[in-house]
Amino acid sequence: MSTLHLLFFLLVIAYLGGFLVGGRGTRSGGLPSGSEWLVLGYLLGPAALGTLGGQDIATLTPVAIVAIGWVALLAGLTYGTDGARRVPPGRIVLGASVALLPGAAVAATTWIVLARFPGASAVVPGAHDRLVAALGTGAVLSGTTHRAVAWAVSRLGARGALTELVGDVSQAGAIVPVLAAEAIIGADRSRGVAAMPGAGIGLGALLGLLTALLLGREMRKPWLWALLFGVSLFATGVAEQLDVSTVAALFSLGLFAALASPLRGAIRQLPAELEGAIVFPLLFIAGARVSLPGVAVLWATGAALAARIAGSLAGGFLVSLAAPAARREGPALGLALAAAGPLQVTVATAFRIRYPGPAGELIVLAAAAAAVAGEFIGPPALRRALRRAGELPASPPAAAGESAAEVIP
Amino acid sequence: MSGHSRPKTPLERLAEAAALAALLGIMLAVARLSPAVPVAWQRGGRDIAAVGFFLLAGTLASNLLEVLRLPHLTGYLLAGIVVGPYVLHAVDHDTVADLSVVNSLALSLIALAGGAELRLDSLRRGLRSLGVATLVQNGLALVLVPLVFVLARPIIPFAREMDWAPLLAVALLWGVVAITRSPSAVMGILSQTRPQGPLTDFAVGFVMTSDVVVVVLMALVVTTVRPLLDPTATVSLAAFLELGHEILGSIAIGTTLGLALAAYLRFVGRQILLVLLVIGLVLVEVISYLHFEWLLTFLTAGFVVQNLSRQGDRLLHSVERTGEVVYVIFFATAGAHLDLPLVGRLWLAAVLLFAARAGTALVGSRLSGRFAADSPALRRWGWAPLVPQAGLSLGIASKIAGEFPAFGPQFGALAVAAVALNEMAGPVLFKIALDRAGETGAAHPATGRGPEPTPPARPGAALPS
Repeated sequence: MSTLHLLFFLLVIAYLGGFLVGGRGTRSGGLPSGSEWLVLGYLLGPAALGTLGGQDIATLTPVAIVAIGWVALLAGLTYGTDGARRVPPGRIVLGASVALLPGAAVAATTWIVLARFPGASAVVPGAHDRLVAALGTGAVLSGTTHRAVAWAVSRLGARGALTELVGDVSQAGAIVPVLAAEAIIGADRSRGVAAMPGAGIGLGALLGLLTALLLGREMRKPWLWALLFGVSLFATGVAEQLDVSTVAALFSLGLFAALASPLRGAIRQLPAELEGAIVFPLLFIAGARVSLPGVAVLWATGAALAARIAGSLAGGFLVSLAAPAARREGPALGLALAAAGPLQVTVATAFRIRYPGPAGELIVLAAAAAAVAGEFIGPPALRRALRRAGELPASPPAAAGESAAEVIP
Repeated sequence: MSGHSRPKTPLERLAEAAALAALLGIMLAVARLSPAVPVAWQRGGRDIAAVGFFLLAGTLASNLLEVLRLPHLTGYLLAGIVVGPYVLHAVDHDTVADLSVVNSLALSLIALAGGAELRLDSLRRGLRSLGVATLVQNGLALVLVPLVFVLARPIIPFAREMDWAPLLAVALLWGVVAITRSPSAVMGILSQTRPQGPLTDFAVGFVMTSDVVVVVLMALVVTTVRPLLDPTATVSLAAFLELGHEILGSIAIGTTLGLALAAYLRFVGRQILLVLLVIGLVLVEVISYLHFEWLLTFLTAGFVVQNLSRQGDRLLHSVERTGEVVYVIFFATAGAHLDLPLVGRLWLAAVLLFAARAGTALVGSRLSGRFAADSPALRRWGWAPLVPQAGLSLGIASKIAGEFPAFGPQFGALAVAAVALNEMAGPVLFKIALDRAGETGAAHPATGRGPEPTPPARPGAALPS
């Protein structure tokens, strides 16, 4: 496929994405996590049909990096909020803890499989690569996607205390993969660049405050667009050059800009207009980057998914202990938190680009598998839990996008 | 770009200056930390950072230059020059070359907007002005500018040793470069100031149609002078056959595209940004592959949407919204491209040729204004939109340089130097002209003068105000 065909194809996906995602990030069609685009990318990619070659994917790397930055920026801008409502600090702590459980379980399991099973060790031979693979897989398999909750709200008309709780917990968990990416990439010196842990967060915070300062108090839409585009591209490029986590830098940029600017409502809403046009091509590119470095890696991926389910069940148990609204559900609520979405796939793609070897391949494979498996586990479990809690209406709302569902990648 | 509703306070200006300095500091620090030749994984990051920086620095610089009443475009260009490879070197040559991909996108938007600005009723009323100006301006430029070139022979290094026949040929080729205008600069200024009036209508009409005129005249001059440069060469009309095919084909494709765009805007009307991206990034390549002139194609498409449908204003609005971001990057990249050391080496010849070209435009404007009985504003300021030059001029110069390798590189270098002056001074002159002609609605505290009076319209005489 020529670069021109590829570019056209991506623009078509972006075009369709723009139609499928409403102005506030709610889906009017397709699967809750958008995994169909991931699968399409895989099918057309070098590992399956080969319509897209390795060179095509390399050509797309800058596009993928920019898309990764934009998704992370959106996540940062909306972090800690649900529409106009602020997520209470207690729930942010609970959500981060719940996300940490599957992440830790996955990292430990992956490390054990890679270290102890000769077949897996042969695919990821170096200790450094193994560590990156284990921690990276843990990072991308931590947390859940808020999209599943947004989907339940917009498509099924879910309303109530449990819906709000699950929404808050899933939203708050987004910080775990971001911080993990910052820690892993920032501390890595394998490229000969000095380790700068925390530099991505610092860069993002500085540029976020600068953005808020430049935005001022008066809403000027063209200026807002230029500023957000410019500062996000600048931060992305600088983070890449310094070899710090782009995801962390842009997340931090969004978070600080939203915290410091009096126009936080507008800067949360406007960039979301481009969400579908950016997320779906990114999922497609991520799918095309999925490959299988060795059959043994399938075992590692399977073990990681199992650990994720176990960690999620533990997380569900923790939520049911901490929040009265979830007490009746118990650990089973964890299954409702097992969906993985664009943010997880975005972080995985960032790892895949940063670590082009088997470690990156394992991470993106695990994220893709979790996203696809999550479509079958998360939304049905969530629906069951919400139905039991009496938070689903008898008939779903007719129009998607009318709801107040939050914009969460 | 900034489009604010109230004047900015000194504190806000200070904050913008501080932000610009901070961004520049980060950019320079990262450039110093990174190796001179970036490793593969850093290249993409360098390009992405440069795009973001150009967008931010260009916008901030243009906001700061508002105080001096300079056009935004000058701010974008200056930002590019300062951080580019010839001054601070925060952005290197390779990155500037990589960013050229944005050129086709920006120019396609400019052509679409330019076509959509050509309203049939305005054109009809100003046909006489446009026709006379096209004849007089191009005729004069093809006589006076080559004459100055010949007279300036002692200060033009590569022309010093030439015999008279080749010298005349090269001078005529220089005349072709001189008749190129800058649709991008004109549309950039119009997009900022949103003026209305006869000068605006004239500027859009003249500059947009000049693309076709230049292409035809270049083929004519190149064919004519070839025997003067190469005694074994003969005059061949084959080039005109190819040219005719190119122009008619471009208009045909442009008409089809325009009708399709109008239908899309009418019946779908969503995701226009992505449609414009497909046009600017993908369709450009397809049309180039088919050997058609994509600028003319998009110009025609914009014209068709404006005049054969009711979607013209909608198209213009969408292009303007996209252009607000794309133009900044385009002009900042153009600024970074400016080879300042080269301008320094050839400055005397470049200044002389710049002055000759601007002077010719001024004389031409007075003459054509008299012949066509233009309004005083147009007679006085009609030369100003013809001064800016940019990428199109360099493209034509580069084509000529490629056709005649014996002196091509030196010819191209002189063109870069002269176009640089036109690129910097032209937009400033055009904005001043629009302000003074009273078409931007801006007051003139310096002069205290209001808009120049427009005489009562005479049928077929002048462009309407």
